[in-house]
Amino acid sequence: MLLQFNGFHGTSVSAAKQIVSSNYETSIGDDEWLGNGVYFFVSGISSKPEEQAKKWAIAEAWDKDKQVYKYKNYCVINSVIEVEEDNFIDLTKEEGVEILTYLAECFEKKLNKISKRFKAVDGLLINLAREEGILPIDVVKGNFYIKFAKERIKRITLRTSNCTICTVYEPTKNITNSNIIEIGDIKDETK
Amino acid sequence: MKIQLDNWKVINVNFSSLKDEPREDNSFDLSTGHFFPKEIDKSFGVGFEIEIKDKFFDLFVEAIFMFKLDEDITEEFKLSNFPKINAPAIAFPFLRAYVSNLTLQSGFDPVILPSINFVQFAKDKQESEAE
Repeated sequence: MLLQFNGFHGTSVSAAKQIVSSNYETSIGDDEWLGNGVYFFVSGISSKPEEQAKKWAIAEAWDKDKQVYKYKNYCVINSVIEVEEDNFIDLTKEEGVEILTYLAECFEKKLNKISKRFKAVDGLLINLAREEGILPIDVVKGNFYIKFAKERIKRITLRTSNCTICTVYEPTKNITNSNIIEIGDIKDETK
Repeated sequence: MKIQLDNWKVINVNFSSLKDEPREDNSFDLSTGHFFPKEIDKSFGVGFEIEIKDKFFDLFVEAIFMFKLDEDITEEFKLSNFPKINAPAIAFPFLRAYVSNLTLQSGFDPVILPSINFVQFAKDKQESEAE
């Protein structure tokens, strides 16, 4: 069965121009929440994922080292994600968590070697599973705690998830349509 | 392509007069944004947030202006100058008049917001992004 849902991606206007003219670039790194892919806020824990995408774009605009905003306008893109049910892992459900637990068992030795024992390895596990072709994974969804500008400024950290995010590993395959839904000024949150 | 202002609404106003000593200086902050409702193909909205710190009061106004086109909105249009420059320039005088009336009818000297050069406003944002 083909699943279809809306994902919301928050970014700068210049990145949005690239996205609508060509396509998304994937975020790379084993430290990424769900591995190398394009990240979207989706409905789940929050009923306003588009609002979270906007807040993410604003939070990411701040350059902590230089203490300046890297960009002054945010942009929210609505993308339609389509995926075969068999190639989709839903980590908000028991079956999805069981798959991840199985992957952790499969890669136990590798994990020990990489000595990532004290870090979250969700992303690393998915990257390994995809690289080694253990499972056909196109899209993964999960609940996470994400810090936006307010939480970063006030240094609020919770264990409780506040967002449902979704990762698409091959944008050209699983994203059928992308539209800009909002562009706006970023207000200086440091004032 | 024909574009016209369809309607506008003030969606949030917060007015509070200062109870203590008046401020020494006035200040004014403006931010704009535009959005493209999925359910309406030929319309888009421009949002304004105005924050005025007058010598005698604080005023915050949030307003939305809806524009109507005679053809479907494309991604190129969304990234063009129209929603970023032209539409705010059309809408701003309405908001300026609203703020002036509101402050006058509230018993204070009317606040006349400065006219904004939205071309320069957009350029400044773009330049700071490119740096």
